[in-house]
Order: sequence, then structure tokens, then C-alpha cells
Amino acid sequence: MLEIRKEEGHPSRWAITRAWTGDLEGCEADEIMVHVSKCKECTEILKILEMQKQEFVNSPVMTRTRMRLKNESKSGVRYFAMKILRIKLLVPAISLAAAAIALALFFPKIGRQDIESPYATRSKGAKGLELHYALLTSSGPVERKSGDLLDPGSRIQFMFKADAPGFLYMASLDSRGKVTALYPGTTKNKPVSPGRMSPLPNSIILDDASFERVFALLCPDPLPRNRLEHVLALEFAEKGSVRRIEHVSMGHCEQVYVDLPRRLP
Amino acid sequence: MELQEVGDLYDKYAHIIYARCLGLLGDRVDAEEALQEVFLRALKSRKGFRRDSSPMTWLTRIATNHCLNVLRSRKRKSYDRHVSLEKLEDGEAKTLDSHLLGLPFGSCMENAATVRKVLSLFPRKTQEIAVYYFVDGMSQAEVALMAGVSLPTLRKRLNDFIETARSHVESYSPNGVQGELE
Repeated sequence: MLEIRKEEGHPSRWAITRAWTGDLEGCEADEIMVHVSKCKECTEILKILEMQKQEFVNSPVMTRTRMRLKNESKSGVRYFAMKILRIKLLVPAISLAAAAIALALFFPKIGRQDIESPYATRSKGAKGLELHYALLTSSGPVERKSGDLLDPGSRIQFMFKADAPGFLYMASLDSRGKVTALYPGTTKNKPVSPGRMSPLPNSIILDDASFERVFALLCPDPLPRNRLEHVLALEFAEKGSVRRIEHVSMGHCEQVYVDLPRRLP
Repeated sequence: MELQEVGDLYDKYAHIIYARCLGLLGDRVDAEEALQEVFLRALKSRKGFRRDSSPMTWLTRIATNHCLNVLRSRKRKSYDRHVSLEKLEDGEAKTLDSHLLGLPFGSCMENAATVRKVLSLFPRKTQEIAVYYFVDGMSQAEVALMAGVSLPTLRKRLNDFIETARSHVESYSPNGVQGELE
């Protein structure tokens, strides 16, 4: 359809512009350009368009805008590069999160299995408290028994189960007499829920001590802060060796311990 | 549409888009900003361009929307900084309009300034129609196609526009336009 202003007998300025810029093609454009070449008024429009273009091309506006577009298109490339980078970072992040979730789901399962497992570690003297631990490896947690040889630098996770409500305290004493508090840490100690296997909030990394014994106590009443660590230090000073400490003088608390000997290089 | 194609469109149509932005906004700085904005939008939305209209039509739509937004924003801020034709010397105004606005007829020069003044009085669709008709110099059929309205609707809206413009602008001379509508 030839865009002609019938009321005037001329193509519209829009149609002339489109034909001139090449936006309109074929017969329509040809017809318009034929009309323009014969019409003085329409030739004027064309001349103005040409002058307008010339003026714009020579103006700094043309260059400035082109530069900005160039920069924006480059930033577009940067954007996509960042997007790819984000994806590259996202995949390991998701994998780690999935592993953590799997771990969290897996531990209670191990705990439940351990209760019936012949390899479960029931420490000496414990009646109402069980203490277990697992070695955390790249392929997942591996259940270990008290006395199993471990490599320095290994990461282990403790789990416990109490038959009655009470307050849990845990600390380790190594062959050098070093005492480390494991639970309750810096937070306020709350009574543990009986009847289910629960992991400690944090895993631990074994240092290069040749031997370490981890004590867990379940007490009916809360104890003063650092009491267990203090008593362990006194016991070590008195007996001279961690292997000789099988019982901690702590009133009516249920007690268990786990030995963590190191594999010597 | 690829990145390079947007560059080609810029080479081909930038002067047209700049002229119409200047015609609508009446200010060189605003027109330059609008030109940049139009092509940046084209750059960003080039994947969505489905080629059901010509590239020039597509760019013109983007430019129209952007310029109308700028005008609305000016009004909201009570920001009246338009370099009106009245403020320019007579010769300067004619040069500006003739060379940059691409308005070849004497009546069109007044039309562009008048359209700018009264645009804000109308709903968005009527604004678009008025811009296509008075500033871009489209025929009624072209405007109807561009704005997606029927011809009777288009004529009614244009008549409303002219009547309101006549009552608001004393210096407005509708002869040229009215003649085309009748």
C-alpha cells in the first residue's frame, strides 16, 4: 500500500523518510521516490532530511553516543562473563551445601545404627550415657571405636545419647597434659534431651599429641564453668599420665571416655 | 538481532531518532540523552525484536515512549526548561525546526511547539497519536497502524486533541491540520 496523503496528493513525510533511509523497500519505495523526484514540495523534504543527516554526522553527538554504546556493549560482555563466573562459583557452593545437608541427615542415621551396632563404643563405667565418634572423610563419616589409631589432622565428630535428662560436659586431656573444653563451649549449658543420639555442635581436628582421652559427663545439676577442665588438670598433675585417669571426681555424674591414640609417623 | 546489527541501525537511523527527540523535547541536551537511551534500550532488548515491524518503526516506538516519559517527568517536577520556539530568535527557530526537526512546512513548526505544550493534557495513547501525526508527519493510516487503533478512533482522538489545543493555546492556528482531518 503506497502511503499517500490523499487529501494532499503527497506521500507522508514519514513514508518519504522511510523510503529515503531504506526502511521501506520494493515497489512502495520506488513509487515514493518517483513521486519525490517530480514533486517540488517533497523534494524539499528530502533535502531537509539530507541536511539534517549531514549536520548530525558532523556533530559531536554522533561520536559521543557511539562511544557510549560501545562502552555499554562491552559492559554487556563483562556482564555475561560475570554471569558465567557466578555459575562457576555457584556449582561448587551448591555441591558443598548438598554435602553438608547429606552429612546432617546422615549423622542421626549413624547414631541410630550405632546403638545396635557391635562396633558401637560404650565407654567404661557408663550406664546412662553413650559416647560415639566418627571420622569425617571425603567419602563421608566413618564410624570408629575407642582406641583406634588416628592420623593427626583428622577431623572427628562426637555423638552422644543420654538415657535421662541432665547436663552434658565434655573435655579432652592429651598425653602432654593439655586440657581442651569441648562442650558446652561458650554458650549457656542447657539440659540434653534423653533417648536420642545427638551430634555435638562442632567437629574437632586432632593435633599431633600421641594420645588423647575425651571425657563426657552427664550431671543431674549444672556445674560451675570450667569445672571439668580444672579437675582434669588436677588429676593429670596428680597421676602424671592421662592413661591413668579413668574416673573424674565430679560427684554423681555419669561418666564415659573415648581414647584417641595417634598413628606415629 | 546481533550486537553488530544495532550498530548498523545506529548508523542508519540515529539522525532520524535524534531529530524526532529534539522535536518532542525541544532541547538539544535532552535530545542527546534520549538518543543514547533509545539505542541503549535497543541494545538491551534486541533479542526481543521480532521483526514484525521495520527497525525504524521499532526504534521510533522506543523513542516515542521514552520522550513521553521524559515530558511526564518534567511535568511532575514542575520542570519547564523546554527551549521553546518563542525563546529563540525567529531565524534561529526556523533553522532549528527546518534542519533538525525535519518539519518542512511552515505550519508544522508551530505544530511541534503546540503539541509539546498541550501533550500533558491527554491520556498516553492520545499523546502517542498526536506525536506520530504532528511531529513525525505520518498519514492517518500510518498512525492507526503504528498506534494500533482504528481510523474512526484515531480521527476522534485527533479532533479532541485539536479542540483542546485550540482552547489552551491562543496562538494556535489549526487551519493546516483541520483541513487534513476534514
